Amino acid sequence: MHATFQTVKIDGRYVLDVSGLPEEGQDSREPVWWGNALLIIIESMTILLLLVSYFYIRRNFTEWPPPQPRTIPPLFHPVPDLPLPTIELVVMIASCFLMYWTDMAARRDDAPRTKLGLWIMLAICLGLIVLRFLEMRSSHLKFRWDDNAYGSVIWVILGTHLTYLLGAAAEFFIMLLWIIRHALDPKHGLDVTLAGGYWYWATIVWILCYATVFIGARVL
Amino acid sequence: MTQTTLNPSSLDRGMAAVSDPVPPEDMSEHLVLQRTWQRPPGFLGWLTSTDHKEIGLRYIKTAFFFFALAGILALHMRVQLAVPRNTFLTNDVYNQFFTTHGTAMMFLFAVPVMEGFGLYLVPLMVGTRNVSFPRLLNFSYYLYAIAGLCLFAGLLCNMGPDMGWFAYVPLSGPNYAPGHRMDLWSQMVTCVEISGMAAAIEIITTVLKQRSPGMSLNRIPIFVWAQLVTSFMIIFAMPAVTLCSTVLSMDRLTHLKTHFYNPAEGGDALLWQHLFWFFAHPEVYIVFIPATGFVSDIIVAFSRRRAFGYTALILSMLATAFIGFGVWVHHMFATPLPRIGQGMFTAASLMIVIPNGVQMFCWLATLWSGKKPRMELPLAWVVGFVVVFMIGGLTGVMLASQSLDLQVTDTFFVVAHLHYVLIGGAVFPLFGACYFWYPKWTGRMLNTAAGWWHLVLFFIGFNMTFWPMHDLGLRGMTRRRYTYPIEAGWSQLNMIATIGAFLMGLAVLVFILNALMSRRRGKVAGNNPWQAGTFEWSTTSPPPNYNYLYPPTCQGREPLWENPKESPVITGLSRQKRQVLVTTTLDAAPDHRYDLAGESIWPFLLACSIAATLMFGGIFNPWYAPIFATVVTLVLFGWFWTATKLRMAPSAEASTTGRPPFWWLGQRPINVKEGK
Repeated sequence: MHATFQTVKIDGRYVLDVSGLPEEGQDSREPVWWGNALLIIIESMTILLLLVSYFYIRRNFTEWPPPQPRTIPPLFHPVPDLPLPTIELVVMIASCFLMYWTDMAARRDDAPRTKLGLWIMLAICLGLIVLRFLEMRSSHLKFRWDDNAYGSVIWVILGTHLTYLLGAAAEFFIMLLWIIRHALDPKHGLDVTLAGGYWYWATIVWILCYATVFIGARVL
Repeated sequence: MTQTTLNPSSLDRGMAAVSDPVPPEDMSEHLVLQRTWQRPPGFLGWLTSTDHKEIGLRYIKTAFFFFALAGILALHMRVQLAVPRNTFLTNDVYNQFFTTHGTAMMFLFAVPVMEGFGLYLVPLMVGTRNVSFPRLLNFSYYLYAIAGLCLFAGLLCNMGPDMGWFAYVPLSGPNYAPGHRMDLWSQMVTCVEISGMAAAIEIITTVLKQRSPGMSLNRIPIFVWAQLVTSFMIIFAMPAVTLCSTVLSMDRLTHLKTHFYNPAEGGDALLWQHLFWFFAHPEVYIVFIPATGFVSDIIVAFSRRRAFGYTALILSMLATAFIGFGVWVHHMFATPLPRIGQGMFTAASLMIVIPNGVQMFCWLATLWSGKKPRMELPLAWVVGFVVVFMIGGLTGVMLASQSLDLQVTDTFFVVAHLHYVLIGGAVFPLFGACYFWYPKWTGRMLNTAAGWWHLVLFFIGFNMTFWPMHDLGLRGMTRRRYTYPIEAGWSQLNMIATIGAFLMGLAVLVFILNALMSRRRGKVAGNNPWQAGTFEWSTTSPPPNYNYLYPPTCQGREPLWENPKESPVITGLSRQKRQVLVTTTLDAAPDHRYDLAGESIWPFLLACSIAATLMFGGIFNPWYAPIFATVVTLVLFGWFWTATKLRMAPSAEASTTGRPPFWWLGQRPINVKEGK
């Protein structure tokens, strides 16, 4: 639909009548998409600077990760355990496809499928949060946050990504509640699309964090 | 009176799309719009206001309030330094004063006041009715206000930060700064920057999506461009400071004790400097670029011609913004960084002179070729800016050279330079902008005679205060010292600086009184007292709450001068809902209609709960953070839930009483009362 020029004069002026225009846009046509994108840039800057800090702190150590003398027996190459974060990585990448499917369902105003997708996404997200708590224990990371700067930085990187997971879970939960309580209207359909964008982004961030914290400890 | 006009079900999105009701005959269109855009009455209405003009002005007033407080602290410092071995302030109080002065001026005055101008003017200049996310606007203001009050409340409770406004570790770390002073500082900074980023999001989306049809990228007013560039800088720079201040708190909290900045455990004190200056150097441009926007608009208005070199001006701003991210190490020349790296940062710092020079020449050319520029007050302030900023720029070129910088680091030479750049580059244009736009805010002109007194006193006072500091710095007076011996030979210059500081204080007092008195007694301004060419001058002064009866279309860079008489205006936006026109990002072609959210208490609650999360969690015990974060989540749920509730299904009570029930806290149903 397009705005139409009318040669009607109001107060002696020509008017551009926009009453024929729709009341919703999709994707980047909506202001809220831009708001979301800018929030994502802000968070990307935060996590990128945190990852840069990791490499900056690396320069202060001869061994990476530094030996852990506080455990019995002392560990000389205390790399963090790999299985749990790898499971997270695989699950997150796989869940992106489900998220895409949910987004497409929301765009078609298909409430049952959107609801189903959101339910599964919420379950996956809660599962990932539990996994994250397990992998942040010092028995897995081999360091507490207050052991040394290495322990601090990996702990804060994982913790920051945990807040992204918590945010996503809260988002899936409230949208699900809205659709159950009310309906899938175009505005909330767009919210599902935005949550999708956020989820793909959280996955990309996890790939970077995984590569830095878990692979970095093995190759740097 | 037709039923469809006033039936609350017309608030339903689907219904309104079909038929936009015609206003009844006994209500003029003005009144309908006014009622639609009016905030609820009373204190709650004031608290929850989402009008960009009201919040923008509130930003400006609050920023000037903090400016005055920080200025009073500066006067105390100048009294202390006026004579050698003075005992007016103790060293501890002096430390708290200079830190709070710097922190307040940078975080609570310079950036917020520019944002306030942006929030007030950008929607008017692009020809729309409000910013894209009105509730976020309300939230960002309260978070800023709470943070600022916390800083000064801390100072009153002897909890004022005392480690300098850039809070270098290890001095600000747990070993050298016990107590909660620096915790308060770091959490305050985090709060203010979150609020700054929210305001930046507002401005970017409003500029990209709500420009009036026809206002393609090459027709955006220069001030709006400046705000856009600045907001993008905020988005990219401010995460660095929220990160580094949060991490500082984590290092300091006895319950956490991380080691980011602790060299004993492999941390790095220079990491702080890198992260902080990666934010704080762009911050200088975040303050300066909007000021160049003021200068451009004022010069164009008084030269009565389009800006000379519009494209060059915009590209200069963009270049300044880009290079501004690559010069932060010039604050760290006194640290043992690799020489080759320092050389590159010297080169980048010198390079920034080029875009600034281009801007200067464009302004001069605009003035030169203008039609008999009138030397009115705003333009006089701009001339003051050119003089003072030139001097600051020249010492900037000197300081960019690493060898000279090493000699004068942490002396009064740097103090002189930064005040010449920041006051010259930002405060002079800001005062000019106040004289320029005050008529738009209030409908009345500021008193001209008082304005000239303000300018002359401020100019003389400023140069008396800061010019001697160059000399003091070269003679070895280090900054942040609370006193000095008589043998140092700095007494005379310090006394001159103190007298100058009081002249500046007097000048600001004249300005404040002028602003307060002209509010009622000033000459009536009319819509366009300067005959300027941008959209905000086409509406009344002060503008109605809906900004434009018929939002305009744009056919030139200075639409009021260039739009042909028959250029169309926009109709067809709902009058019963707060609706704006969304246009395409590049060409600003009409795309769709977009409903804005109305007043709500949730943004205020969100600001309070985020402040509580950071302040309690970051200062006292980190376990407060998850507790208050849960509150933040619940408040966000409330915000989400009420944003659309009444649009979807207006409740029955609302339609009968005309008011939502007291527990509702949600969007006020618009125009329901008139239905009865």
